[in-house]
Amino acid sequence: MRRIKISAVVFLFGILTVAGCAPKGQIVLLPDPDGHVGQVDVTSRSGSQTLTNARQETHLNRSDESPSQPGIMSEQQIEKRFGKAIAAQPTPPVHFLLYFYEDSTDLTTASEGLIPQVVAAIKDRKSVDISLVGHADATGTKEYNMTLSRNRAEAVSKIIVARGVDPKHLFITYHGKSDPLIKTPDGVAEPRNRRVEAIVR
Amino acid sequence: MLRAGTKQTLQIGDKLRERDTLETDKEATLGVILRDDTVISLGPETRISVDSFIFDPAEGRLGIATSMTKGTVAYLAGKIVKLAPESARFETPLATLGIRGTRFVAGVQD
Repeated sequence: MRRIKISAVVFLFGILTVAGCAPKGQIVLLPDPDGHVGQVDVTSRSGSQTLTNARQETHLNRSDESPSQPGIMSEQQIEKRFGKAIAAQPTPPVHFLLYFYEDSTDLTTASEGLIPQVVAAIKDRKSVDISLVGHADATGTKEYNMTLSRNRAEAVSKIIVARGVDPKHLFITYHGKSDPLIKTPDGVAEPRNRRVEAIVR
Repeated sequence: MLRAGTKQTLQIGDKLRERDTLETDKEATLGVILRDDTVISLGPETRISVDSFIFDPAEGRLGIATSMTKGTVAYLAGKIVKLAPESARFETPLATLGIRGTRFVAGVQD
């Protein structure tokens, strides 16, 4: 008799778990693409929880309750509830640094060798939003370097357009000597600051 | 997409602005890349708004606020979170999220 009662209770609990399905609000921390795990703080009107481990989740059903004690969600559960959103994630953007010879809009030989990778990244992503950001080192006047950094970005634009990239997807900006990668006193030549950053989204 | 009260259907490559609301139907999913490298994707029957977005690292002006009201979202944080985590917010109807250099999924049931 007792055994029957217990199985009835278990059965009922099983139904509740299945039919009760997803909580009203649920947050699950996932590892970054590089494997690093960050942190999310989840705060409701009456409390907060911090997620710091991969696949750790917290949930709540009303705004006047605290987020639940964090638990670990299985990969299958994550796939079931969030699989479509995760699968829809576009490839993250990629950044390239292209360097130039001193006072020149000619790419260094090494950077010229990177151009096929830049073009491939654009084609792989079917990218429609590519930034080319020009920079110069700290030798010369502010105005001169503004022009030089713009000419560098335009030089890269010409090269990749010649390789089939649509110019309407390119966005050129330039900062002259005002945004160095390596901070130097004014007037100092620094090869690593003579660059164009290409961001492919 | 809902922009300034007008509904429009999105095509691949369309550009977003601050205060746009994105919504997917039962069959659709959607991926978005923001200028700071934030990557957001929506599962079916999902609604999310980009409430504010400022990415001007040279001037030190950074901020991102997004809010979802239903569905499922995957979020991969970008440069704003790396440079100024306190200026990144993700709102859901029941809770607000603070984000520190990371990736997460969020679900909101109607």
